[in-house]
Amino acid sequence: MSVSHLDASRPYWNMEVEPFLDSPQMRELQLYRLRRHLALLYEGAPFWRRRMERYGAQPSDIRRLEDLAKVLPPCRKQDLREDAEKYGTVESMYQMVAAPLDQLRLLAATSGTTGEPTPYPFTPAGMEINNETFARIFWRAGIRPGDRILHGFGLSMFVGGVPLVMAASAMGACPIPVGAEAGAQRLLKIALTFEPRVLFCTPSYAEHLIEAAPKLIGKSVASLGIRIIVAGGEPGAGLPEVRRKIESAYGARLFDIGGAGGGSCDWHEYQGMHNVRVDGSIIELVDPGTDELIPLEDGARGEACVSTIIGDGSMGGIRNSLGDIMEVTLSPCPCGRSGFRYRIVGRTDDMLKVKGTIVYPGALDNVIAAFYPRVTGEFRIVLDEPHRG
Amino acid sequence: MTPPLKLKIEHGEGIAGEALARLESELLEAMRAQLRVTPAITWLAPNSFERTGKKTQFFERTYL
Repeated sequence: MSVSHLDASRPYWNMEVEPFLDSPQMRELQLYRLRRHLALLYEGAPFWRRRMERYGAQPSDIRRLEDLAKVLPPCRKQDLREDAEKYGTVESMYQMVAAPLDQLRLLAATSGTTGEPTPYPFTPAGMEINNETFARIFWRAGIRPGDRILHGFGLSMFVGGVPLVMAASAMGACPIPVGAEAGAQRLLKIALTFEPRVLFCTPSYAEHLIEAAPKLIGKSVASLGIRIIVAGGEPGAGLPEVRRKIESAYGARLFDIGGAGGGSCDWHEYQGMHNVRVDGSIIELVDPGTDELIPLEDGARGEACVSTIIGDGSMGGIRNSLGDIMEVTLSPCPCGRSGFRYRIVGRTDDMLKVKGTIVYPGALDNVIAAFYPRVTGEFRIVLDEPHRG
Repeated sequence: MTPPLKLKIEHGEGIAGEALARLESELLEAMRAQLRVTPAITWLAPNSFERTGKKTQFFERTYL
């Protein structure tokens, strides 16, 4: 898409698709694309063919969207690990993508905190999905071609690192890829020099810069002229107290982004993240204990499974669990923008049960952040034993 | 998990003595009211935790 003559006041990046994300026709499109995509993966991606055969599933079994949950269980990190152990990490990665080996253009990976790093390969088709998704999210946040963006996520992060830089550049904005690795001093110095209008970083790093700026550059973050902050990777950008702290310190609007193609809108109160990729992916909720499908209705809560139904498999597979506990809202958003909304309540592996009460780190974060500046906002939960349930 | 929930929290600059005791009392009350938990808090000085810019690891595991 040419970006040089876009009307900056238009509501969506993609005016041909985004106005219709909530239309009944979108389900028909999802079904068509799901069937086509399953057939593509069955023929061209051995990982997905093995998975379908293991559960006795065929692409032709899908006659309605609801059939997907009947023929395939959620695909969790453990499934990817088992395959990687059997075939080797690199071979297993290639077998998830229905494209020739020489089509890989970028390889992002998780840090491997709980095991081997999980690879996220990008082919040209995967990059196109990544770029289009974030262009929609960025546009709704008010980012426009030409905006300078200070990139303060760790550059190695998936998806917050290089993939986000590429997406910002592709939509015509001008990212400055400093990265959190460079440290707060360099990041703040670059901000002073190049006067970016936008900051990308984790919410906790945005909080850290509030404390660090007076010491490192002798000025508050409010003096930097940042008007838009796009934050993700942690729950903070969806927590009222953390949002209040960051927005008031910077004099900027804070937008939350999530891994399932979601971005928050500019309504004055946080409304969750809009799913801007309804035409390219299917989100299901399941019970994390039983894998049972939870109907997608107002207020439904469960483990999110995402099926990417466009591209070649390089931007996610079928019923991939992100490990997020999601709560959905299907009623129209007061902002008037399309795409059903969801909040990340916590993660399946972060849930704590204390005397029968379920507590997520994000909820603790929100309570603690309300006491700023008597607290910095940083905390840790000490575990003397495994905490599953 | 076995109660109490153990938290390490960084206090703000210059918070000590009675101010810290008052902060702890208010924070515990807020935790009880909003989350129905009463954690055991260990206070740490500002900047005790590393700021990486990557996803914060909320858990500190003491077991092997």
